[in-house]
Amino acid sequence: MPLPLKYNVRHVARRWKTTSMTILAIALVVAIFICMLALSNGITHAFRISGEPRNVIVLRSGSNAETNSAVERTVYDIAKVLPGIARDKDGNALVTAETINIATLPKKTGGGGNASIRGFGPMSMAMRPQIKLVAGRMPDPALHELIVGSGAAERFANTEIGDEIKLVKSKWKIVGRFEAENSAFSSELWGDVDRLNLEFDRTVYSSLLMQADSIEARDALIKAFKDDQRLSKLEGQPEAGYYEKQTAQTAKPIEFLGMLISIIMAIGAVFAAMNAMYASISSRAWEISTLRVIGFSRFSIILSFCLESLFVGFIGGVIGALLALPINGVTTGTTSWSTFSELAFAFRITPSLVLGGIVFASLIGVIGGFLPAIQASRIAIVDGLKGEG
Amino acid sequence: MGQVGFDQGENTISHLHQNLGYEKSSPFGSLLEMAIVAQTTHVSKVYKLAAAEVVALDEVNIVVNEGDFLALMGPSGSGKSTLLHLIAGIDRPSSGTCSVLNFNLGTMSESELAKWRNQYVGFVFQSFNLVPVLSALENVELPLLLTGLSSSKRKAQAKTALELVGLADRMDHTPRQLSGGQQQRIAIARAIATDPQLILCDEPTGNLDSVSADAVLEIFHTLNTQLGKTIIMVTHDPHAARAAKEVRYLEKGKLLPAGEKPKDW
Amino acid sequence: MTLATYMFKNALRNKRRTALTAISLAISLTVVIFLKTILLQMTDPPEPKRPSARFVVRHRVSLTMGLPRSNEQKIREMEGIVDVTPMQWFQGIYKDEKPENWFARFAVDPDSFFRVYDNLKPASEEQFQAFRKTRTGCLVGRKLEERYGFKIGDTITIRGDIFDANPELKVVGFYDVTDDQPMNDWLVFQIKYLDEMLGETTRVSSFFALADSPQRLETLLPAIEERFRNSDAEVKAETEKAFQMSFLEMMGNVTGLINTLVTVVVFAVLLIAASTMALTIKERTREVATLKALGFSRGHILGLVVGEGIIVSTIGGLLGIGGSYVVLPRPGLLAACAAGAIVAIIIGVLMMAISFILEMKQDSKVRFIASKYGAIIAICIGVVITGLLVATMPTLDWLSMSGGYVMAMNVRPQTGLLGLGITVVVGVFSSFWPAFQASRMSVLDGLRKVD
Ligand SMILES: Nc1ncnc2c1ncn2[C@@H]1O[C@H](COP(=O)(O)OP(=O)(O)OP(=O)(O)O)[C@@H](O)[C@H]1O
Ligand SMILES: [Mg+2]
Repeated sequence: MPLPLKYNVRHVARRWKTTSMTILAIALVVAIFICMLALSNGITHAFRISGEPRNVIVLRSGSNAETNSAVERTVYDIAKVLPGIARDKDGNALVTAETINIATLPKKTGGGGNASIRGFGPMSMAMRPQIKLVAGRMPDPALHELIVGSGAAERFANTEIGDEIKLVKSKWKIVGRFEAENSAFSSELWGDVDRLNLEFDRTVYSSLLMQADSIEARDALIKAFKDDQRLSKLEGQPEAGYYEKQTAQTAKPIEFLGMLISIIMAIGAVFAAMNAMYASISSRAWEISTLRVIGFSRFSIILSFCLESLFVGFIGGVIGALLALPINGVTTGTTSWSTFSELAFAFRITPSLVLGGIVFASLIGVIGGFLPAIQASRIAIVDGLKGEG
Repeated sequence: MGQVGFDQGENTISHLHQNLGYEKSSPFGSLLEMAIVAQTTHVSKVYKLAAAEVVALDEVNIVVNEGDFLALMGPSGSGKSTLLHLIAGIDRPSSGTCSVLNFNLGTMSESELAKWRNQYVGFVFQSFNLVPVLSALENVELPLLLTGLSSSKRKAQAKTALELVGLADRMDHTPRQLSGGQQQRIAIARAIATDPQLILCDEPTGNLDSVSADAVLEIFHTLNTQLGKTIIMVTHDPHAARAAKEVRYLEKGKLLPAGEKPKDW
Repeated sequence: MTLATYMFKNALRNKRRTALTAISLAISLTVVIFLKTILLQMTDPPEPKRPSARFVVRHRVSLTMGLPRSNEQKIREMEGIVDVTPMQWFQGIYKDEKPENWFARFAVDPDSFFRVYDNLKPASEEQFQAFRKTRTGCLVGRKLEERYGFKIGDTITIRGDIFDANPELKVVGFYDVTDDQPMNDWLVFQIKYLDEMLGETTRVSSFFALADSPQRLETLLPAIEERFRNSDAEVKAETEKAFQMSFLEMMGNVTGLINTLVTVVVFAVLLIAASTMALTIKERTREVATLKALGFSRGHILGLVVGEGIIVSTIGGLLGIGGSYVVLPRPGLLAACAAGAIVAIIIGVLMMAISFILEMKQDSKVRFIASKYGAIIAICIGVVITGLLVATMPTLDWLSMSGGYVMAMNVRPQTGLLGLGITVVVGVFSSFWPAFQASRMSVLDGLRKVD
């Protein structure tokens, strides 16, 4: 016969002053856990939604990032007529050649940061549905004009519409701002590809982006690219996969650090929960014996105390999640190690992360309560009734 | 009364007289001149509860002279403990004044009271209240830690007090290793360690069997008659009260005139 | 006995509780010291013993832009220049893209390289000459020699990523770092070989140069930037330290992140300590009241309890700080401890499961061993495994086993002091509130409490 849960809740409520400290300690550990994973989640998310499933990105074989790839102009014309290429409603092939340039721009917080300046073509916007112009207008290909991603606008100085920034030789005017759902693109500044190539003294593109009709057509396209003799120095890969790989370098260390710290701190929290439970049990010895006399089994005592401790952990988890929640959506930045340029991203707390945090906290509670619960169940009926020793 | 390990009798007591006399100013200008140890004048204690007022003490006037051994008796809830606490300075009256050992307790701050208790008052509880992690000797030494005596003097004095209660041979034992009666005797040794003038006890024999109780009472008797300590003892036990020189009764917060008992007592 | 003895006895009264609190403080402190050490290592690299006159010239817009090689001569002609050397960051991939196989690879000019890097010395004159004369030769730092066991004559193939070239390099020797600059894990090969592979004289990511004195840099750096102003490659000239720091700056707001983490960790451990202190004092309510009846004042009680808090935190603090000093600089030991701890946790949980099952069956003896000594057994096994791992350490490649995340960290004195500070703060603050409450509690309330 299990003890009613009400019994435990009452006890937790009765010693709320000391319990609340244990709960808060667990809550902080869970908050660390959620925040750190929200951080790495944010980076992962930024990269993940950068890749459009049907897009294929073409880089020079051997290079693993757009920044150090090179694609000849001629390839653009070959790619346009490959089978499986999607077309927009006007019949234009969804293929675009782009360049990525890195330029040091002054940051709002002082100092300089590396900004990604993307040269884009007429089809680029159409192939990336996550990107939307939210203010101003698109750049005129004939002029030194740029549009700026919301993440970049937040981090770099002089990026309001109407501002001018010097790149290599000339001043470029900001004429618009776009949002990209916190993807990696929102950290970029975009301008016409050929005009930017002139600015950066480039004769080649960084990458070629093609959109296929469907996922199957995409894989066929990659194969066709591989088989084409004229394209032997190049390699196509799903855009999604390309960005996924970048995740590993930038998000994994943070995830590792977050997990490490959470687990170590969890040990501390387990100890705190253990102390609280041992104390509670020793002050309830008399009561426990009475319960045993009444006829509750050892098992129900163990279960009862484990549940009580789980309850404490659970509340800690909920509070921890609430503490962490405000950080959701807060943008911050790091450097993407694959492009060596600034990457703005937002902390991202998902329902499963919240759930994970609460489970984590409940585990802290259960593990912390287990040994004390066993001890409680072992209090000899007679000893307990004798009163405090 | 019982026969407790108090073999050395007179010897120990004279020994104690020599040893307990560390420098401390007497509260009295001259001991002979001033005979009143504790005096309460129109002392009342009222607890204001949400529902009603509880009058724990009602206009109590009591005088305890030097060398008295007073037992306070009365029904449960009659205010015995309350009165004792007021005299010990751990509680303050709602009205009236307590003057103990020539100190007007009402005018003293809490820290002054603490220091005063340490020097002049010994307190014995019903439930011993020994510190479980300290040995008997260390428990007795506890109040001496506040006196500024040297470590060796403290130890000597604590030992003397233990000898007085007949437990010198148990000084290294922890409370857990001692019986209830022995624990209470250690507690008495702790109360007299600083050689206080006044000893207050709240049902010191309440938790003891009759043999242990007798031993404790015997010690009180010795402290009173041989060392001239003034003792106020709250008790329920008529047998214990008989050890005292005088018994006064409280009823519903009122102190009955000397020699008078509650009706159904 | 003294009041201090009494305080100590109080602190050790409930040994299990004190141990648990102290250990959680110790591990939290280790986390704090670990984080702070990483932070310091990143934001404050060791200063060169003597001020360096070395500086960097690179493209104003970004490192990826590159400078024409002809700039070398132009820089050399400036006043106050002792020497200039072109350096091209080759990057590339060795073996695979795993972080543990990541180290710096540069294409350099052998002669001027060692003149500008006067703190790097080829292992011998013969090796230096071999490096100069072998077209595909390379020199590697001592740390790489240790890590990979490179020997003279080995071939190292680097797959190019920035460059469309896959150099096959022959190890012709090693170099030593004569100061404490973190430069002992570089691979350098001839820039001529790179030019050859690419079929052109490549632009270089940077020129490193040596001025005749550190003071000279103040005027020299702006002068160089001025010299190339309005050329087709404007430059940025900065000290070597500023150059290093610019990479660290790229980490984003790591300082903020780590400091926030440290604060939260300290706060959490404060709560852990405070909750146990509160429990402890609450259980001792009667005793505190008794002490007050014996004449202990508020101040005495406050002192006794805070003192006890400081004793408990000091036990944990010394454990944590000492442990950090021993473990953090030794990645092998750190990994061994981590492995040992994980094993201990797994065994501990297993023990719990076993004891739970046995608890249900009535096999009292085994049950007793499993649940009562389960934790101790688990810890012992963890310690033994840690010991075994440490003993076999030299034969295991810890760095690669840890996925490249574990690195040697030297705890600096200021970090140790910070740990001590946190220890004291935790000791005082965790016990202050319970102490304050205990000191304020009336004797009567305390005595009335029947626990
Ligand atoms: N803190 C309090 N709040 C309200 N009423 C109180 C409080 N303390 C004591 N009283 C009341 O004061 C009265 C006297 O209490 P006191 O403890 O002095 O009785 P007592 O004579 O010592 O009784 P007993 O023999 O049972 O110990 C009682 O009616 C009690 O209920
Ligand atoms: Mg009473």
